[in-house]
Amino acid sequence: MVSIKGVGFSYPDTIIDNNFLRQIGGAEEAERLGIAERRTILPLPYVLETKNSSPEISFKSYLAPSGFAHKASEAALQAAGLQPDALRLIVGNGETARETTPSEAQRVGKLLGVRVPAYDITISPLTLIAHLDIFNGWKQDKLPQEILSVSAATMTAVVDYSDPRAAARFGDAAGAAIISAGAGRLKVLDTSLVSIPSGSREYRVESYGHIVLNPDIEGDVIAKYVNLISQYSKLHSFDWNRDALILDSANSALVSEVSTRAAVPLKSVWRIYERFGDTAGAGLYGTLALNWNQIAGGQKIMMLSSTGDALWGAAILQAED
Amino acid sequence: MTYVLGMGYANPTTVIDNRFLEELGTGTNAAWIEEKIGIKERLSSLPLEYIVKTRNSDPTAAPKAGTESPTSLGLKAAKMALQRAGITAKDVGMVLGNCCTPVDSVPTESARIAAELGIPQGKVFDVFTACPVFALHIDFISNFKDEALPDYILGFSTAVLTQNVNYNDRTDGAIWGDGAAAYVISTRKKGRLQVKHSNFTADPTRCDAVVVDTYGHFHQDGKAVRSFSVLQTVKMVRELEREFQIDWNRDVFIGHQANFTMLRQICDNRGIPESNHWHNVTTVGNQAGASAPTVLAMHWDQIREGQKIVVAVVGAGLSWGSVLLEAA
Repeated sequence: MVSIKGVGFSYPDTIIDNNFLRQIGGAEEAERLGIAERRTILPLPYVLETKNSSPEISFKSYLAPSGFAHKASEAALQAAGLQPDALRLIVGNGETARETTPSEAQRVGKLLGVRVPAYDITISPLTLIAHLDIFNGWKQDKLPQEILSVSAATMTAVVDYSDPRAAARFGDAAGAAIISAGAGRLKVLDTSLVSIPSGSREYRVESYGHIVLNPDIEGDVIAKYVNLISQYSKLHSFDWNRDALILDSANSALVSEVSTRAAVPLKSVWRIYERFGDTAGAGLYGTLALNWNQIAGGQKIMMLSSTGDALWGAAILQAED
Repeated sequence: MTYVLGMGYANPTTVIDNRFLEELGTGTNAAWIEEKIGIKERLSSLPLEYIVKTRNSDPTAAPKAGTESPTSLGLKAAKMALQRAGITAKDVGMVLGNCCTPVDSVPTESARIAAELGIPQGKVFDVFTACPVFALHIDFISNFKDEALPDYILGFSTAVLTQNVNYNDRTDGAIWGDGAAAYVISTRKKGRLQVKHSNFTADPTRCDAVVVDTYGHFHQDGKAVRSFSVLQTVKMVRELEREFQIDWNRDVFIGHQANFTMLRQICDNRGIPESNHWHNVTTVGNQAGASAPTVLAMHWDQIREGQKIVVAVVGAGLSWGSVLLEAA
C-alpha cells in the first residue's frame, strides 16, 4: 500500500496573460481553452521580440527547471512534515532538462543535499500517476519508506510563439509529492497505466526544437476520460457530491464536454489550467497541491491523464478520515 | 526469481581509431591514448569527414549528419534480444528505456522503439540513470510483485554520444563510442541467466561530475570520477565474492566500459585473469548505459552452464550498481 503524504508546486513569477497574447497571437485560442494566465521563465520583451524562435538561447539564458523542482520538493516535504534526510529514493521526470545527463532526480537530490538512490522514470505527462502505479506494484518490503516523486518543465522554453495554439496552452511549473509506504493523507486505492505505442499523441517535444502539437487528438482524449470515469466511478463508488475529479492537461472546452458526458458536476472538477495553462508533468501535482487544504476526510479523488490513443492512466485516492 | 532470456546489441560501423584522433591535431597521440585510456578504436555514427570538417562544434547539427540514431540502434539491439529470447514484440508487456541522447524529449525513446517494434500494448517508460542502467533495470524489476508484471519485459539502453563529443578536446574524443544494448527479462519464464543479486544506488551530491549538456557537449571531472569508479567497483566486486563463492577461473567480470586501464586496475586488484574479463571498450569505446550489457550480449554464445557473471558499473549520477547472473 502506498499513500501521498504531501505535495508541492512551484512556478516562475512572470505571467503571460491574454492581454500579452493579443500582441503576439493566441488570445482567441486562450479564450477557447479557458486559460487566462500561464507562468514563464522567459522575459516578456524577449518573447515579444523573438517569439522564442531559438529554444537553445532560452535553455542557455534562462532559469532551468531544476530550481523549481527543488522548491516544489521542499514544499512537498514541508507538507509531509519531513526533512530531506527522511527520503530513501528520488524519482524524477523533466521534459525540458538543460542536461540530458545527469537525471532530473539526481539534480534535485544534489539541491536537497541527499545521498540516496535517484533516477528518472519518464512518461510525460502522466508522471505522478505512473510513479504511483509503479510503487503500488512493488512488494511492500521493497518499498522505501519515503519517496520523493518530482516533475519539472519549462515548457515555454520550447514553445514557438508564432504558433498561437502552443502560445495559448503551455506554462512552466514543477510539482513534487512524497509517496509513502504506509499511512498518509491520501491513500492510493487503485491505479492503472496503459501505453499503446502505435497510438497518436497530443504533442511531441523535439530535442533541439519546439513543441509540435497534434491538433486532432482532443476528441480521443475526451472519449478516453469519459470511459475511465464510468469505469472507476462504478468500481470505487464515487459520489460526485463529495468526491473530486482531476483531468490532466485540461482546458475549459474539454472539461465542459467531459463533465456533461460523464455527468460529473463542474464544481467537482479540480482544475488549475485557468491560472497556469498546461504544465506537462507538473500539472497533476499542482492540482493536488493547490487543493490540498480543501481535502475532506474520506473524500475520494479520481486523477486521470491521457495524451490520446497512445497513453492513459488513472489513480484513485482516498483521504484519511 | 528474475531471468534474462535474451540480449542484443548494435553499433554503427564508422571506426574512429587513434591515428585519426592524432591527425585531428588536438595535441593527443596514439601512444598517450593507449597508455592512459587503453582504447584503440571506437565506433561512431558520425562520418569521419564530418568530424574533420566540423569537429562536431555544434552538436545540434550532428543528428542530421549521423548514420544512426539512438532509435535505429536501439531497434536493432531489441530485435536481436527478442530473437534470442525466442519471443516476438507482441509478447512484450513492459518496456524500460534509457538514453542520454534522445531524439525527442517527448515521447521517450522507449515509446519510440516500442512503436517501431510493433509492441501492441503495455507499460512503456524510460527508467534513466545513464551508465549503470543494466543494474538499475534488473533491480527495478526485482522490486515488483509478480502479478504486477507481464511475462516479458524488454529493457534497453541506447546512445549516440559521439554526437555530443567536442572533437577539439583531446580526451573526450578518445573516450566515446555509440551503441545500444537490449535485454528480455522475466520473473515468470525461465531463461539463460538467473539473477542472483542486483543492487543500485547513487550519490546525487556528486551528479555534476559527469554531464551531457542538452545543447552542448559532454564534460566530466575525469580524475575524480576515475578514482571513485575504480574504488567503488572493487568494493562491489569484493562484496559479491564474499557472498557468492565467485571462482575467477570459471566466472566472468564485466565492468563499466569507460576505459581499459581502469578495468585492468580493477582486475589486477581482484585477481581476475584476462580470459575471464569480458570487455569491448578497446574496440567500441564507452557507450554509456549500453556499455556493460553490450559486452554480455556480444559474448552471449560463450556463456557456459553454471558460470557466474558479475556486472559492476559506476557512472553518471554519480550512480552505481551491480548484478550477479548465473548461467543455467
